[in-house]
Amino acid sequence: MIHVSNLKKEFNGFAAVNGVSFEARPGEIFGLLGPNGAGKTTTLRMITTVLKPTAGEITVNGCSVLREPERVRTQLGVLAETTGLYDRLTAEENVRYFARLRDMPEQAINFRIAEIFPLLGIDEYAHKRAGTLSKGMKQKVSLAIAILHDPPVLIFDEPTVGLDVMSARQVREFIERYRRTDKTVILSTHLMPEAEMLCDRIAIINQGKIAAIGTFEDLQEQSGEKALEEIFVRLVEEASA
Amino acid sequence: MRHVGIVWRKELLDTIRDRRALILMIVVPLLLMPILVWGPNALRLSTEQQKEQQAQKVSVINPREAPQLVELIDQSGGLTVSSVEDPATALKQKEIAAVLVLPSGFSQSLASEAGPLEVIIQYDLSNSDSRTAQEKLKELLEAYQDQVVRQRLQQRGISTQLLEPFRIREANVAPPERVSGFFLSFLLPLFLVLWAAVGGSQTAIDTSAGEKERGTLESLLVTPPKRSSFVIGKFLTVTTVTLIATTLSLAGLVLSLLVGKEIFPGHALFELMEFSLRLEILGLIFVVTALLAAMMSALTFALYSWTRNFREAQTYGTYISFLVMIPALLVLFTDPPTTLESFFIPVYNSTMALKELLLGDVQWDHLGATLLSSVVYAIISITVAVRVFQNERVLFRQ
Repeated sequence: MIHVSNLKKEFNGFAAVNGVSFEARPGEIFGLLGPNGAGKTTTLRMITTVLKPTAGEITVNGCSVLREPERVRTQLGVLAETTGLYDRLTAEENVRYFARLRDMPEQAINFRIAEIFPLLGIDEYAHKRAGTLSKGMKQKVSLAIAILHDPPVLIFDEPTVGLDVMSARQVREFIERYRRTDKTVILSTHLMPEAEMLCDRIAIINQGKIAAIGTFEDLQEQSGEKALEEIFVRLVEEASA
Repeated sequence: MRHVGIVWRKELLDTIRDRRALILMIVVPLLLMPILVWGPNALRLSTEQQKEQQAQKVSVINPREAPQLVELIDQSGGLTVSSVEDPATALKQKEIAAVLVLPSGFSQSLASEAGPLEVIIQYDLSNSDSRTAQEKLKELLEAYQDQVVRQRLQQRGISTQLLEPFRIREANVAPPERVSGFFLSFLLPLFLVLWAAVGGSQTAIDTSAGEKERGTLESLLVTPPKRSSFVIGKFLTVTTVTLIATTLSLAGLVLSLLVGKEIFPGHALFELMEFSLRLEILGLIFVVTALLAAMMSALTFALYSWTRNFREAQTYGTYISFLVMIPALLVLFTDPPTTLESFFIPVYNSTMALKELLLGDVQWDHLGATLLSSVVYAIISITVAVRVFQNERVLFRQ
C-alpha cells in the first residue's frame, strides 16, 4: 500500500510536482499516465526516497519516506528507463551485487536466480559482461534486479521505453503477473496502450498535477470518450481550463 | 559494515577489469621509478663518456710557427691534428671540431719575447663536439703558455716559485646527499606525492561520476544501505587502489636502487640511498604516503561525486595533479619553511616529510604533525563526501 498525500516538489522555484495525492493498493497495478515532463519520474523518485518532498507525505506500507527512508527502501523493487548496469560485471554479478546490498542470504540468491533467469531468458547471457548486452537484454537484467528479493512494492518507471517489440512484450507480461497478487505495483508510462492493457486504475498527470483518477471505465464515464487517448486529451484540457 | 565490504569487493572487481585503471595502478608506478633513477644516470654516463673518450679533429693554421705546440696537441689524446685544405668550410661542415689560428711570425715573437700576438680558437658554439674541442684547446694552450713562461724564468735564473705565491685547494663541505639533492629532495617526493594523489583517480572517477553517467547511481540509492556505507566502501576501494599504486612505486624505487648499485658501482646516489633502503625508513615513507593517499582518495572522491560526468571529473583531476605538485616545485626554487606549523599544511607536509626521510633526516615532530593532520583531513574529506552523496541536487545535476 502506497499513500501519497498533497505531494510537492520544487526545483529552484519551479514546481515539478504540485499537490499530488493518490493511493496504490496491494493486488492492483496503479498507472501514472502523462506526457514527458509531467512529473511522473519526480513523483516516483520521492516514493523511492531518492528525492525529498518539498511538502506533503508518502507512506509505503505504513513507513514514512521522511522518517524511515531505509525501511521504505527494503520494501521496494525499482525499474526505470534510465536504470543502468555495471558494464564490466557480468549480468549475474550485477544481479548478485544488488541482492547482497539487500541482505539476501547467498542460498536465497542462488535459488531466485535459478528461478527467474530462465523465465526472462537471462540464463543464456548470464555470464556475459553487461557492456556487451543489447538494451533489451540489459533491461531484463534490471528487471531481475528489481524483483529478485521479491519485494512487496514494485515501481516501474517507463520500463519499456526504447526496447524492441519482443523485449517490451516480455517486460509487460512480467509486470502483468503481479496483478491480483499481494504486491502493490505502480507503473508510469506515456504509452496509452500500455496503460490500458496493464493498469487497474490510472491517474492522469499533467504539469505536476493529477487531472483524474479512476479505472478505465470510470475515466470513460467521466470524460464521455471511449478510447484512452481521447479520454486523456479531454481530461487534460478540462483540468488546465 | 557488511555493506561497506560488499561495496568494496564489487568496486575492486570492477577496477581490476578496467584496463585504464590497471595501467595507472600497476604498470606505470612499477616502471616510473626505474626510469627516474636509471634514466638520467644512464644517459649522462653514455653521452659524457663518449664525448670524453672521443678525440676531436682540429686543424692548425701555420703549424710551422709552433711545432712543439702542435705536437703537444696531437699527443694530448683528446685531440688529433689533421690538415685540411679549407679549414673554415671544414669547420662549418663539422668535418673538424675547431681551428687553431697561429699568427705568422708567432715563433719569432715568442723567441724575441715581443708583445703578445693573438692566437685564435675558431669553434662553433652551437655544436657540443666543437665546444668540447675548444675547451680542450684552451687548456692545452694555457699549459703551453705556462711552459713558455717557466722556460723564460729559468733562462734568467729565477725560481719558478715566483709564479705561485700560494696554492689553492678546494674543499667541499657539503655532505654527499647534496650531490644527489635534486633527485632526492625534488623528483622522488614529487612522484611519490603525485602517485598518492592520482594513482587511484581512474577508480575515484569511475565509482562517483561514472555511476551517475551509467545510470547505476539511482539503482544504488533505492537499496536499503545507508548512504555512508556506499561512500566508505567506495572510499576504501580508491584508497586500496592508490595504496597498491604507491606500494608498487616504492617497490620500483627499492628495486631500481638495488639493481642500480650493480649497474653504476660507486655512484654517489646509490651509496647515499642505502640509508633509505633501511626497513624502518621505508616503513615511515610508506605510512606518510599511505595517509596522504587516504586523504587524497576521500577528497577526490568527494569532488568527483559533485561533478556531472566523467569528462568534467577528469578535468578536475588534472587540476588536482597540478596542485599537488606545487609544494614539490617550491623545494626546487626556494628553501621552504620547515617550522612545525608548516607541517600541518596538507600535501606540503607530506612532501616535506618525504624529502626529509629520503635525505635520511628523521624528524619525529614533523612526522607526527604530518600524520596527525593527514588523518584529520581524511576524516573531514570523508564527511564531505558523505554529505555530497546525501545531497539530491548534486546527485541529479544535469
